[in-house]
Amino acid sequence: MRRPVGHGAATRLATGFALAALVLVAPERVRADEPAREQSFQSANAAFAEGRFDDARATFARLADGGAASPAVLYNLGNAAFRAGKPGEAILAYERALLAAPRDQDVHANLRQVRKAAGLDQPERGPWTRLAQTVTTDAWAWLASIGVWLGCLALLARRVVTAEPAARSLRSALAAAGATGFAIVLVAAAACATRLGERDRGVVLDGDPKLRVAPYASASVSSELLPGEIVRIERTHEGFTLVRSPGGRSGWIADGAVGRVR
Amino acid sequence: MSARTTAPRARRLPIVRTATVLATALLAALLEGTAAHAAPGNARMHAEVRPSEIQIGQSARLVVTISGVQNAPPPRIPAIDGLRVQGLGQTTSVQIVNGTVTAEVTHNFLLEPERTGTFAIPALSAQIEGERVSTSPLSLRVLDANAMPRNGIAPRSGARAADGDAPQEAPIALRLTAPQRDLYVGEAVPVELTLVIREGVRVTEVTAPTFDGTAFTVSRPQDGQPRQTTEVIDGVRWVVATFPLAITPVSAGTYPLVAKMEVSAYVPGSGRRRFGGVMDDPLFDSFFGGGGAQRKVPLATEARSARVLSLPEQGRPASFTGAIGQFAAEASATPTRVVVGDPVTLTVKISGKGNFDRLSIPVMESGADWKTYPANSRFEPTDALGTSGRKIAEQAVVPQNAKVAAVPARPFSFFDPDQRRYVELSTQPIALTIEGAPRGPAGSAPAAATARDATAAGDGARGDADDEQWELAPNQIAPGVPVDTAPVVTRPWFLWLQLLPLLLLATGTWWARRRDRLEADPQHRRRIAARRRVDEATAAMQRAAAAGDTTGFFAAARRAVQARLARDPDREAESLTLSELEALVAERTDLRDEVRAIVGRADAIAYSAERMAGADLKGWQQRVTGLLAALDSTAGRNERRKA
Repeated sequence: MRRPVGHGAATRLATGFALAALVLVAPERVRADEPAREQSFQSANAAFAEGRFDDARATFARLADGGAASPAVLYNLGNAAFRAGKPGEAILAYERALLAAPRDQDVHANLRQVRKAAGLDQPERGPWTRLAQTVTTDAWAWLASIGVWLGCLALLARRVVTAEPAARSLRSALAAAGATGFAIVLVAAAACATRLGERDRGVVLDGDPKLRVAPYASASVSSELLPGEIVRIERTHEGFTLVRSPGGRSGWIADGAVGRVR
Repeated sequence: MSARTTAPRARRLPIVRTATVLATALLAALLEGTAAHAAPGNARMHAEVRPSEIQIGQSARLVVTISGVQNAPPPRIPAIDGLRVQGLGQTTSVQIVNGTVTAEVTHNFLLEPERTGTFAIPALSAQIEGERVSTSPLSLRVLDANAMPRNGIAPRSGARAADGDAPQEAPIALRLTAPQRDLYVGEAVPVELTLVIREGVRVTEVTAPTFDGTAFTVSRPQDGQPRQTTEVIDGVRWVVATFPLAITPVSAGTYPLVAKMEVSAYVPGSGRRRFGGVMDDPLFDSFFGGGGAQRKVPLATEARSARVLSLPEQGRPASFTGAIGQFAAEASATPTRVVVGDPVTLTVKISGKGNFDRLSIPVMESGADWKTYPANSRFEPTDALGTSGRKIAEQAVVPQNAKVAAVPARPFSFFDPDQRRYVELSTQPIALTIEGAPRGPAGSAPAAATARDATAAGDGARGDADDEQWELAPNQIAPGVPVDTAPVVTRPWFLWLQLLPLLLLATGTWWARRRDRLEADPQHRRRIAARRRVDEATAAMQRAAAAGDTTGFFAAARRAVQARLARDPDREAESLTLSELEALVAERTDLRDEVRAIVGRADAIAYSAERMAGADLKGWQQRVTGLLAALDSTAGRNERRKA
């Protein structure tokens, strides 16, 4: 016998539609642009194959800036920029690609090559940084979220389960699950924070890599960085960015001469 | 008498010697009370001149050892013409091995000759614990200051200073140690060039060693520093600086093998007066400048020739690429379980001694079964010259079909100059497991993986010219899925999502605590139940008042009062009579009267079916509500008082 659809059922139905829309709409929007995006990507690859690296670089850059920045686009942009003689831009593109695809060995290999070609040292990464960089920031965030849920639900279940002797082993298991959940939260949250901190990094581009003592074009130059050097971005002021290199050199650099790894 | 000894590297200071003597004497004194004395009658005396041959201006030492006793006076040394004798003190040595005590006393004398010649030291004798012991006669030979002591390490037979100094008088000499065999073109031949410098000669500058002609190229260690030792021969200290070199013949023929070097040195003269004792230490020579003049001394090694041969054509293997020496080859591959199209890193290691700079490692070539990529090789030397170590080549190879069962053996051959023949080696084939379907076009191209592997393999190692062959991994062929660069943690909904389990936990905890309290406190449970019944009766009373139901109103009012005053958990509240209710509030006459009025009225109406107007019911409702409130506050006070 068919049950009448009541008020509660209608609410559930509406919620389901809303969730489905959330899941489906964004990819659908991407799919609408997919042919043009695919065509641009392939034309850039063709330009690259023909040795027109500047054309390829420009097309890949348009794709990346136009909201279609996939790891593949950023990676190809890095290749094209390096071939076009812009190692700083190449390193920036690779670093951005690694944010979304941290275990992509092609990106790692080419980044290493380009750094070597640009005369830059390979950055030293400690064990914790290496661990944090095994997955994306979002993956760590979701892992921390799973830890929160696991910990809370396990402790809640342990609180709800009666204290009878028969349930003792169940309570122990739930306590262990809760502790595990919160341990996951600690590790994942710390790793997530580490990866978020990487977004304050910038890459010196191939323009004017001079460090100035003040955020003015007429300010005296205190030092000069190499294209591709990684710096920490501290703040910006009217067309200049205050950066600090791992070696401790600090100064203002023109906005266009540094790209943020975001 | 000892002809040759090796001096310690660091000269022991007098204060250290004194401390050692004192420590030994203290130890002997301590042991004297506990250990048995050496048996009397075992005392022996032995004397020695160290060295037995010196130059004028130098000193020797007379060492008299009396064993079998822990204390003995110094023997009397008779006067010797032209030889001054000065006592330097004594040392005592006590050893206990398995309970057996052995002891000896050593007396030291400084012998300072005043002329050249041979001095005879007569037999020494002493009275030790009532026993007469004596030594054999000794002699000390004193040479002229420019004469070379016997058994000197400076070469005499042919080795010479390049300016024609007599070899016996050379304070600096150069010698070459090289294999006594035929050499081969392209061979890296380790040789040692040794610079021998007599004590007192201060060398301030040394030029890089060279070889006569252009038949050899010379490799020097990266640090360029010689290995330096000292030797003492017949009382003269010699500094020996050894330069390890590698020479490589560049053409066949017979060539002189003579190394040359020029040094700048101060050669000491006899200007400084010698005072004897510690003031004659060479340290003071250096301090006072030695009294000599600086001069450039060209040096050359003993004249000899070397025959250089071309590598034989006969028996030359096809895999020979120029390696000369002694080598071993091994190969490994990772991973060994792959699918078609997956790269395998083939590592070939050649280790041993020889001309690694001309050594090429056999790499795989592309074919029907394999696609290969340029190898990345590096050399890990184990000596400063780079003539021994291991060379490692890593090459990315990609199986092209599932029929491939193994990485094939890699042939390698070299020429062994000692055995004068070619040696052929081969690595073992490495079994592979090819599984699954070939990799599709969607992922990374194989070339990408191979360049990646090659790069990763070279990371941190010393690369060579092959580094230049590395290519960037190729472009991706599919655009991939765009990713949102804003981290999810910056989204508010994500943060709210994390609050949800916390809220659930807080709610569940509150609920569980309430449940636990109810289970643990029956009185509290009854209070809650009573309150619920009062609330229900009050609601019914209100409904009845609104409906004008007088009977229903008073019935509900009575139930409310009964529920509020009920205390016995084993008795139903509605069974309480008016008198029982009055008794429960007996201490408050005002409340008792009000209970009596309301419950009495309810009882009356229950039997009379009297009806009241709505306004009257409102008034009674207020009275009932007021009574319930008063009972609540009275109960609260009572509970607080009990608490």
